[in-house]
Amino acid sequence: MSNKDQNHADASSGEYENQPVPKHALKGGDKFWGMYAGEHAAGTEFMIGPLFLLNGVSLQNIVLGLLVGNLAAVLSWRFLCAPIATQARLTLYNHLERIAGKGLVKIYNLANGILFCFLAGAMITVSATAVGIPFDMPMPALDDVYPNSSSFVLIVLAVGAVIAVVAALGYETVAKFANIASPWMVLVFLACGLVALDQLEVSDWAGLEAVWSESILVAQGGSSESTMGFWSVMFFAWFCNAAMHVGMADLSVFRFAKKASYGWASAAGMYVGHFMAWIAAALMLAAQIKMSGETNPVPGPMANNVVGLAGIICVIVAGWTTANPTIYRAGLAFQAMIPGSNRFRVTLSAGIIATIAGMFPAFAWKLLTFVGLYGTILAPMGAVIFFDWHFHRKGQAANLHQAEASSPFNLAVLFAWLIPVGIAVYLIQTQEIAAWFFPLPCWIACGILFLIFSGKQHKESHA
Amino acid sequence: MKTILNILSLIGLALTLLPSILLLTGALQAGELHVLMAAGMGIWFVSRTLRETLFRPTEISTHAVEPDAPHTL
Repeated sequence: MSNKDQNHADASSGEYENQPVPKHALKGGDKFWGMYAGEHAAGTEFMIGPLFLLNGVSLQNIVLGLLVGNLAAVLSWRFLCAPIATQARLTLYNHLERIAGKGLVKIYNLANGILFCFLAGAMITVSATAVGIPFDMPMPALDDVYPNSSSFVLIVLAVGAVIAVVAALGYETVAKFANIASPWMVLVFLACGLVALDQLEVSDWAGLEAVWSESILVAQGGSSESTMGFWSVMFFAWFCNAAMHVGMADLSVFRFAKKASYGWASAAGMYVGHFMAWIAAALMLAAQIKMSGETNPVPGPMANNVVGLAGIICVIVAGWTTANPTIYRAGLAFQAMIPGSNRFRVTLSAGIIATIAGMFPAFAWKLLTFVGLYGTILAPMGAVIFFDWHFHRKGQAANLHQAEASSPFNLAVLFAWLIPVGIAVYLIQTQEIAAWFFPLPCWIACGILFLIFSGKQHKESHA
Repeated sequence: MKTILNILSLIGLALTLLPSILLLTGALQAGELHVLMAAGMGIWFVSRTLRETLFRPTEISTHAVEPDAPHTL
């Protein structure tokens, strides 16, 4: 397909993947507020909140850390991502291709695809814990790395198969269903938190703090030691979506925005999904500990304990609507690596990888570390876009729209990305430093290295 | 028809949230809450699906179907 044909196809689909979004296709602010509120109340929320409690975070640190960290995330969307998106009006993929070259973008896609498979795997585990309730499936325990029973394996296989086949057929229907389910899911999260508060039988903040501390003692077998403080919660809240804001993946979203100020809409996602929903999910685990002494943060039974059938369905829907597009996009990422490959088969293969990952509950239990690693690996590419935009393009969209990458593998971008990420992954593995502390230094280092390397490259080509 | 479906959707959402508030105030029992929330869920999904199908096809998400857009967490 020629560029002209491609642009025509883009325009008729309304997605404008290979050209700047034209003025008539821009969307109003309400679309962004609704989209962010819905998309950040997902299956992962059921896991993240309880994991804070299990790490012994005090209630005060959770509330303050989330307030500040989410504010930093909103500011990142508003002042780093949205201004570039509303001027360049390109997708991340297209924008990066003009700087880094098609070949390097494929490698970036591969990293995305692999991480997507494991994220989808964790969501399949989440859904399976809800589907398994009527079958009396033994729930995986917190120290289970491998599958704990044959029934768990069978249910993960069934859930994974459905999600993979639907994703391989194209996820449009699921996307429509997710849009319908979003407002309801947000209210179920809120209801779960309120019912959990009732089960905790507290009437004031002091009472809640006391019950919370008792829950930590039970969860940690008598120890009140916290492995996460204020800074951990703050950095986690800021960078759990690092790939989207400082990583610039949401250029794809805000390119449709009339003004950069629509970046404030991300506050709906942060304070509904990453504040209210995380705290509600954490309260669900505290209530479960109080009522049964059970410390396993298994989403299905936790939601069933507080709101019954609606909770079980919410866990299934939240896990499914997160896993499905994730597998679909993993399939597309892998397909970009193998030209001419069949999308159905590639997506199905991504679904099989995700399903196998879903059989290992450790991926769900280690979600905090995984999410930190996800941001550390993907976000630095956003620094390349940010520094290129402000230093090379001088903030002028025309300079970017006329640009083409000098080679399919821009080595300046490749090394600027790999050096800090390699060091960070090494430190995470060997020094056991929490992964959520690395996206920021990696992002800054990647941007500075990109300027140095691209400056050298420019001098050499003109020598 | 559209107005009726809109009202039903709102009833579905109300039945999803209000029982938990009533439980907190002591006006409702846990068993009743479960039934009301399940009813709210059914009403919401049926009315909203009908509304979207009959009157306004769901808009294409601004998350374009493209290889590089990660799903949110």
